[in-house]
Amino acid sequence: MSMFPIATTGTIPVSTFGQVFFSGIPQTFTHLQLRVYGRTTSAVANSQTAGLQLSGSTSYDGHGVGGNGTAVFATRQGFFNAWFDQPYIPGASSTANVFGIQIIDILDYTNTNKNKVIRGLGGYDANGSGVVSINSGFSINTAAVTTITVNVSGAFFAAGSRVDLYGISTSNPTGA
Amino acid sequence: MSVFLQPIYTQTVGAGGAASITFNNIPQGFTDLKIVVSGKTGFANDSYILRFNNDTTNDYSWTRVYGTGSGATSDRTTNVNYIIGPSITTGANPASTFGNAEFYISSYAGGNFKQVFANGVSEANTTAAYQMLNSGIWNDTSPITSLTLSSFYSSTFAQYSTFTLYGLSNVYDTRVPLAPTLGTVTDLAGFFSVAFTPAANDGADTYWGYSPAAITSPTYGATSPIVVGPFESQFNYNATNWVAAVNSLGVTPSATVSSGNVTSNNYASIATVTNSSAGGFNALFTNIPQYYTHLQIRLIGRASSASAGAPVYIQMNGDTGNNYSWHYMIGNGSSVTAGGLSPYGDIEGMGMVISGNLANAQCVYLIDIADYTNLNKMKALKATGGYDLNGSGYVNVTDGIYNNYAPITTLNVQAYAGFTQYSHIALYGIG
Repeated sequence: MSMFPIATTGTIPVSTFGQVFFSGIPQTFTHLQLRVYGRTTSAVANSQTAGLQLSGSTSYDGHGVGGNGTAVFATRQGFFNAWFDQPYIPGASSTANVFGIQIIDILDYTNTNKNKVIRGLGGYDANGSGVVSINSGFSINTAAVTTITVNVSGAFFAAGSRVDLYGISTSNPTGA
Repeated sequence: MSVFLQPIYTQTVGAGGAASITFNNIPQGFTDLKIVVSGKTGFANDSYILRFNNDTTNDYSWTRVYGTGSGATSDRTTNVNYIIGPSITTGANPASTFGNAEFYISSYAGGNFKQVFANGVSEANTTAAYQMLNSGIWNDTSPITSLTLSSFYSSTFAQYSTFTLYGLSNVYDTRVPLAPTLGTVTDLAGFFSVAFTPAANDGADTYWGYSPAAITSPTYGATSPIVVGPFESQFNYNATNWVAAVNSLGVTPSATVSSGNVTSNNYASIATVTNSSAGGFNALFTNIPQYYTHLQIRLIGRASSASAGAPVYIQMNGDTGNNYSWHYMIGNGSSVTAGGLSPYGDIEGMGMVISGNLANAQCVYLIDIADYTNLNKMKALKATGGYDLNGSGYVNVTDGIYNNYAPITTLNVQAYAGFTQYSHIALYGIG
């Protein structure tokens, strides 16, 4: 198997965590994948408040395209944002027990010849509402990624959320 | 071994570029194929194109939806000789920036037409950038034994572009894994780095590093060593069963480490810079581990500068902007003075022995950076030190702050005109 768990929050038991921080990321994989099952306590229904930072860098651009069941939308963050905006997850006003999914891929994260380009797929359906999108992010930094921070601005991850970080190899360590 | 996502082959483009990337002799034992690409070409707004089994006839169709930041578009083309993939580059196509994309090819070895799903982005800090979802079909019932990726605009893939082909399978573990053998255990001040050797054909999907004495849940790793902890410092621990081979059927811990008991100390050396040759130098510490609680710099040395009061100055995370402030208080044996600057491009205030002072005299500083990984705290620095020149000298207390919440991953410790020969700057992690 080439996809390995690096770290996980487990199921977050209480709504008191505004950030998840993964440090000491091994430099032995080729790619990273962050998988979020989340909901926030934000009052905003489509809560695009789960932001991402790589190695503490605070300068990102980002774009997204998606649909909400009736229309498509395209967005741009603009230059030098402190966080990369991930796909939408539900907020406190969304239907109870509805959580969103985000799959975030960071390719070649140790390659110092490459700025870090982030690809995020995500969405949720709330039985009458919802959203789906693909998002891109850009960090003007060729340094290897050693830490990842997932942030909920002005709110917390709702209880029941979880954030998992995986490493993806391009070789098989056991030769199987 | 459980095979869910099996790497088949990786190709990395070398100097000079590559017009296309082909995977031949694709194994037929998987359920699906996946391609992960970190790619770049020399043509603006380029996209991947995909063909199978060297088929260049008009046997393909595709559909896509994409956004540019200001609008969204969907289009379709039928009866063409390729499937279009995600965008690779933007109009700006800046240096060191590569697209991020993946392709899924379901039931590639079956007897139906072959479906492709792909998604990708070409982000580049520009007004317009592409996010794209693609679907496509190859109207052929042959098993896919080779595939070729190339540029829509017939450009070349740039150096450092990587293409990895994976096989996906629904084969599961059939036995519990075999235990690894533990090797050397290295103290990391509150953590231990544990080396291990996997057993041959152990069937492990991953490895856990854990200990009943540690406070947290297991850490994961694909390769040796694994960092285990945290532990209370100044205690002895028996490194028994600290690494386990893991798959979906079980966890098999290792035996006791051959080196026996280990002690977690308060301090661990991260790196030391000493210049044994003449000439000024500075100390740059990069990739600072993130598992300690505090950092401490121990410095003994002198500056090459002849300017009176030339200080040590420190920058964090490569930030050279005016994002620091600092104050100092010094006593010279007869009076006390104080000062400071804000905002400033570094933290200074720690005066050094300079060129022209008493020969071979050195200044000494202990510099502490507390809670350096905490995202809720600006990074505060405290230094104590000074020097005596047999008749003159200083004792110094300096504090400084870096107006940033980011964890400290890099420290640049510098002296005006550089540190002299034999100066010694050591970085420690404190548990």
